[in-house]
Amino acid sequence: MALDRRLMIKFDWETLVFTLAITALSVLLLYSLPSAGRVGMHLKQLVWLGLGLLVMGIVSWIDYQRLSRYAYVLYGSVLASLVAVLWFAPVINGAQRWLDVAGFRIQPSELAKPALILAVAQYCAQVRSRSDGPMALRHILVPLVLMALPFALIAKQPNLSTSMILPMILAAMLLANGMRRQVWVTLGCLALGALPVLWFGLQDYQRLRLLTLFQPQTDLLGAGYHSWQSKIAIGSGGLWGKGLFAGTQSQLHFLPETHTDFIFAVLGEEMGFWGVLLLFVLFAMLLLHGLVVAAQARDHQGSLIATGVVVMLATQVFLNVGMTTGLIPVIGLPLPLMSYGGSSLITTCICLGLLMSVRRHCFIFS
Amino acid sequence: MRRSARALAQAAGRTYLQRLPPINDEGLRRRLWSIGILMMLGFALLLARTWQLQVIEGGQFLQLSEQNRLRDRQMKSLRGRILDRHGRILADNRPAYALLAMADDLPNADVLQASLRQLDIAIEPATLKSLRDKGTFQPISIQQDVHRDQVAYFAEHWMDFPGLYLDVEPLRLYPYKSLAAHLLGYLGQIRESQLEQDDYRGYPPGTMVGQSGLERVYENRLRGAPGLRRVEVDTYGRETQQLATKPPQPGTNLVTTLDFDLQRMAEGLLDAGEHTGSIVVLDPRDGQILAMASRPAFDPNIFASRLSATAWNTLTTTPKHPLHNRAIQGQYPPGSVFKIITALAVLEEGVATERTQVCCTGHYTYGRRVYRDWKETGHGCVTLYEALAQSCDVYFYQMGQALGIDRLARYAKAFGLGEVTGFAPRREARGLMPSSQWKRQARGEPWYGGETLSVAIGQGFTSATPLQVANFIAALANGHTLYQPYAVLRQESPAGTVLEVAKPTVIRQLDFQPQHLKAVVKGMWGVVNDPRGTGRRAQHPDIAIAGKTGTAQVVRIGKERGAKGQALLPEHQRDHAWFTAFAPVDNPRIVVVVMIENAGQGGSRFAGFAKTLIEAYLHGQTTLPSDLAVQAD
Repeated sequence: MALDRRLMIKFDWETLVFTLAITALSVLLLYSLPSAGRVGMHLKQLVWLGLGLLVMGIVSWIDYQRLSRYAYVLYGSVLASLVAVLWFAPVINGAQRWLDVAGFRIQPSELAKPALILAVAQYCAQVRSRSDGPMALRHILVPLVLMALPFALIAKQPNLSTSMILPMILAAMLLANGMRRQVWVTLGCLALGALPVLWFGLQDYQRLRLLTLFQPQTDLLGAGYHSWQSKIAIGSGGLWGKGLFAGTQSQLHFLPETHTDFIFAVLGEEMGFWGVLLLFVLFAMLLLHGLVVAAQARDHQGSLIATGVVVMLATQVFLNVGMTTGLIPVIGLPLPLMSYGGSSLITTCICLGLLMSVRRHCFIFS
Repeated sequence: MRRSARALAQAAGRTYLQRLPPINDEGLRRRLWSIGILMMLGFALLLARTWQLQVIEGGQFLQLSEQNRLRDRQMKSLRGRILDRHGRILADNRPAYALLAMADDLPNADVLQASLRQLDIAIEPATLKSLRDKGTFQPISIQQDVHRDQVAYFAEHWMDFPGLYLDVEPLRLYPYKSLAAHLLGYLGQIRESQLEQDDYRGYPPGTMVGQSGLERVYENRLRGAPGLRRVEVDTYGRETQQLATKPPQPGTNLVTTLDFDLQRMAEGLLDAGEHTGSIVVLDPRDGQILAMASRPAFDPNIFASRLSATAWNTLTTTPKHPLHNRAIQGQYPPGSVFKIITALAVLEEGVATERTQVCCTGHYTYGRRVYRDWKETGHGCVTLYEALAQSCDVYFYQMGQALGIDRLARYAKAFGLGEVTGFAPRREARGLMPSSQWKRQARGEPWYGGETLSVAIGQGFTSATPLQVANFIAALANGHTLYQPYAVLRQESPAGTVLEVAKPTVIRQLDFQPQHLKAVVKGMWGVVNDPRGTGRRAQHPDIAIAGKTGTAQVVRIGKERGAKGQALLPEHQRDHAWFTAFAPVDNPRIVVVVMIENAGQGGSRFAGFAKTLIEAYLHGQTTLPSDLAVQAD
């Protein structure tokens, strides 16, 4: 086809700008961290970013409606790869998360998120076209199953933190879609009923994490350590931060995982409250823009997809920041666009690409 | 207006990008709004939380982050020196290299072993593992007192030793090795039980502290004050920069009462004959200890760096107990030396006078037992003077019987027998001075008269340490005061400023009749100077020396007596030998006590030791020509 002028004219520049701003912040912070002789993490992250932008561009180009025709197929292959992980993947640190494919390491659990978004959106669109009015209880079953399968497989890895995102995405998408009240009540009861099951299903170390949340001092060298050190790092940043390269907690290795899960603590320590405010403003604007896209989509499907993407990102941000500030127990969840790591960045770019696709394809030529 | 724009565009034939109408679903918009609001609430909550951490509690967290990264590292201080009375250094410090490691920088065990082997250092894998596990905040000591060659090798090839580094620390050095080792003491790693005591508050584990002798008693003066380095560290304990230092304060120097030459001489006398025993030299005017030698001894330098378990075991299980300070811990029957007390008691109690004669035939019957004199043929009829000079047992059996045990005990106790002198109250042995009360309490039996006879000549239950004996002789020599022996003359700052001067301590004043004292001293003078005195070997042409020999029985006198009989016994059953002396008689300035274990004969043989020591001491100073000898009447 001829060069699509939509690409250039009505390009979703808001998403791109916010994404670049946040990742710029990330690269800056990664640059300030000591990298112990390895090639600078910030440089590697830039490479991943380049790749991510490429993926984002490709996805946004494709009409999401056409992509959704393959939603179930994509969903199915992600599910299959999750099963493969449980069977074939090497156990590293007690967990199976990675698959080695032709020399590349991929983490299928990350891909489950966009796959779920697409699949649920597709199903809801199909239901809407067949029946009319808000979804009834019987229509909830399939989405629940769609969510539950990867949830169980990912939780089994074990990777509870990632699997927790899935129910949040589903809930938001269903909410946006509109359901009858009785459905809400039923779901609510189900959720409450699931809690005790979850508790017993938790492994010891996960339960320990929950408990040390309330009394981190009791186990400062073990499970409570990360949470405690993270709070010290953030708190000691004060209003203006200690300055780049001067975050003692991060620089001196008191804070572990500074480049990945605890990057927010590095932000808090080195850039202080104003840095945190800046990041929140950027995220808020990105996410609100996503909701605007959802409101202005040309059909419900697009709206659902956009909502799914926004809530996915929001949940991850809240969980990660909640963890680093000590509001919730420590979980292994990266901060989207900020944490170092290809998996998370690429997946986020895929999802943002979907968002951009929804935005772009509400225009046609006449 | 949109329509007209579109119409215009269409009219113009240009393509127009038209936005498709959004979904007409108010419900959707409402729901999206609610999601949006929830999200904003979430951000607000997180922002509030961050505000709480950073602004409200920011100060506390800043402090905590400082604590995390700051460490106070101790700098070892120079230990105070120990000197003899003339300033000769007996305990010193020397710089030594220690090989240290930072736990997290260490390579695996095999690589480390291999690299250490280049330095001829072997380290047990089990030790290494436990060192690693101990934690990453303090450097680990791999080897103390690294040899100079090893240091040179390490300095050249430091690249081959990742994670290791050298540091300088002061180590204790005793330049004269085993000289006065028991008195000076030695250092050892602080024990768990000590760490809990108040005395050792603030001492980090692994510190070398004085474990015996002066090193222990004056530990907190000798130690000085360690310095402090405030450093910034990373989580591995690696120092990234130094922020502040407080220099260490060196410890106080101790000037002891010891006379180096006397001490060396005393030890030499014991070593020459490979004797096991001790020599104590006191100044009777105030109780200063001029020399205290005990053999066998040990070299305290081996303790200066950490002692291996096998070396320690060897020291503590050697049958002759080299760590034992026989001068204060050895308890022996005083033997004939006790007769001095018996003699004085006799005069003071009026049981007899100087002129009272007792005829000694070589044995004495009491009750159903016959008590023998060491001289089979007896000494003939003797007065106090001859009885002392020739050490007649029978005279004292009779006198002892007349006195009774309790009166005898009273005098002995007045002279300090049966109680610690107070010199080293926690380490000294008490000895024992029996009495009827003691026997009832300790043995549940009444005192038998025959036992008094043994006590009168210093055998039986009585036991005393060489220091106690020296102390009582000193009191007798000065005639009026029992002093507490002491070993530290004064304490000085490293620069030489006098900080504290010791003053003599009086245990008790003695109140004996001067003529009685004179009579007893005359007898002691006779021991050395009378042609039939048992201590003739101590006789000196220019110095008036008084003394007394003694034999402490280890087993009861058998059939064969004297040297021949002793030679038949196994070594550990042979008699111990005493010789005590003081000089010059008129104005005594030195008291010598020699105690040789299992010598196999009486102290007469060792009288010469006392003479050597006395001569060296008195002639080493400006002296008057020899004091007039006391004439026998």
